[in-house]
Amino acid sequence: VTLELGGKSPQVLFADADLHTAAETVVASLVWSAGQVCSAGTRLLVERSVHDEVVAIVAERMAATRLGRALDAPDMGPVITDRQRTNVVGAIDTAVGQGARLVTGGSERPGVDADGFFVAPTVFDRVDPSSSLAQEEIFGPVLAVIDFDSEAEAVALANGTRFGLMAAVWTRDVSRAHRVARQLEAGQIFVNAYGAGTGIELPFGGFKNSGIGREKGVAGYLEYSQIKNVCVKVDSA
Amino acid sequence: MSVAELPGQLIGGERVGALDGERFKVLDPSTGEHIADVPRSKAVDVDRAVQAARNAFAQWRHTSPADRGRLLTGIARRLRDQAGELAALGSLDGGLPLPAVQRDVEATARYFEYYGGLADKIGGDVVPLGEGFLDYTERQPFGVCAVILPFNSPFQIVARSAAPALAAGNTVVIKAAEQAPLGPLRLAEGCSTSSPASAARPARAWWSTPTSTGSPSPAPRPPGGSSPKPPPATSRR
Repeated sequence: VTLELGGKSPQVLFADADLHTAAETVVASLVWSAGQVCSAGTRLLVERSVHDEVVAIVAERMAATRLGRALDAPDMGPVITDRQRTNVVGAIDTAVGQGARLVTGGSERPGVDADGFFVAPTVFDRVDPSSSLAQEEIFGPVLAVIDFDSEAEAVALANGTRFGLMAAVWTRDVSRAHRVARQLEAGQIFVNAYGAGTGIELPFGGFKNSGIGREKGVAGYLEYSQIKNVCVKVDSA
Repeated sequence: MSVAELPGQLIGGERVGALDGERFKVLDPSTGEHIADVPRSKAVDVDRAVQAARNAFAQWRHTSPADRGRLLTGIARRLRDQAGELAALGSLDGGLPLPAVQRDVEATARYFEYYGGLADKIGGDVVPLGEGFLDYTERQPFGVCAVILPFNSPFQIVARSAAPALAAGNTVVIKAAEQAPLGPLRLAEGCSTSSPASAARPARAWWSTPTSTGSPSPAPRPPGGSSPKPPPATSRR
């Protein structure tokens, strides 16, 4: 059995990164699916010295997301069902109840010219790393921001869930990029990019509770075949 | 899009309803409107599909890797011809913005191209046992593979499962997600009806059906689910 399961994938953003590109990518890679991709980057771990600047950009972009009917090519469509909308909104209310700071969005229905199952793009800041918002997959357009002081703390936070599907490192320091990539517990790591839902050629699957086996690439092909060994005795002349 | 043109279950290349005739409603998540009625498959329907896939497997496993690859790359070409219709259908019931679904359909074509190209390139190994033995491995298909789709990015997930499975010589039974079945149903139909007659049989074994009752898990031998095998009877030094 090959299983691709959930995730709570971290975007690890260091102060020396291209902050605008990183922030824009974090938002764009989350909203296109309304967060309904297992590999969605739903935790933004950001170095404290650039925290305020990054959160301001992310919040502005999230708030500017155009919602609408899927066929009208908005930035973000609805979530899949009314039940899913109820789940996502419930998770937002729970996070508020747990004391996370709501930066933009929230559980109120956003203004959209359609009656479907819409949820506002939502950002929480200063999220407790042990809270359900930081630990559980919501499958909605909800981003949890957590800050860190050191590389070691960033890695510990990134690895601090039961999931391990995908992760991104944002830095201009090439050694740090590789060093952190090696320590992250995830099946796919992006450096200065984030490819949720793409990568035909790249083996894809989870560490820890994010899955069994690999899809995509040559590894994906191998999952669909089984090895037979044939041993032939060759007699001497 | 006319509801009358929307597909039903596809079993052995034929469009059929559920044996008991039951159907369920599909909603447009952007508007909450009822857009289609789709057959609700039961165990007996799944049994029919698995039987059709088993019948096809008897021939498909012996189809040459090059011919399997040619058929898959042919599907990629036809998916691109059909891309506009598929993307609109997938965006309608899946709720993802149309441009995102267009990218999803293109990725789907790429999967068929990629795994079509791979079908005749993955070999086995010769294991060095020294004088007196020739030992080699080969890769063999499992048989009928069950593919259970989630609602998100359904085209890609059909492709990244079915394309490598077919390339490796398996046949496939696909269960579409009940929330968003229309795109995958049309995709399977397109693969089937436009296949070249000489190679149509394996693709005709494709079957897609939504149910709302969870996973039918019909495959007798799911990919990667092999049980431990006894050691080969052949003696080694």
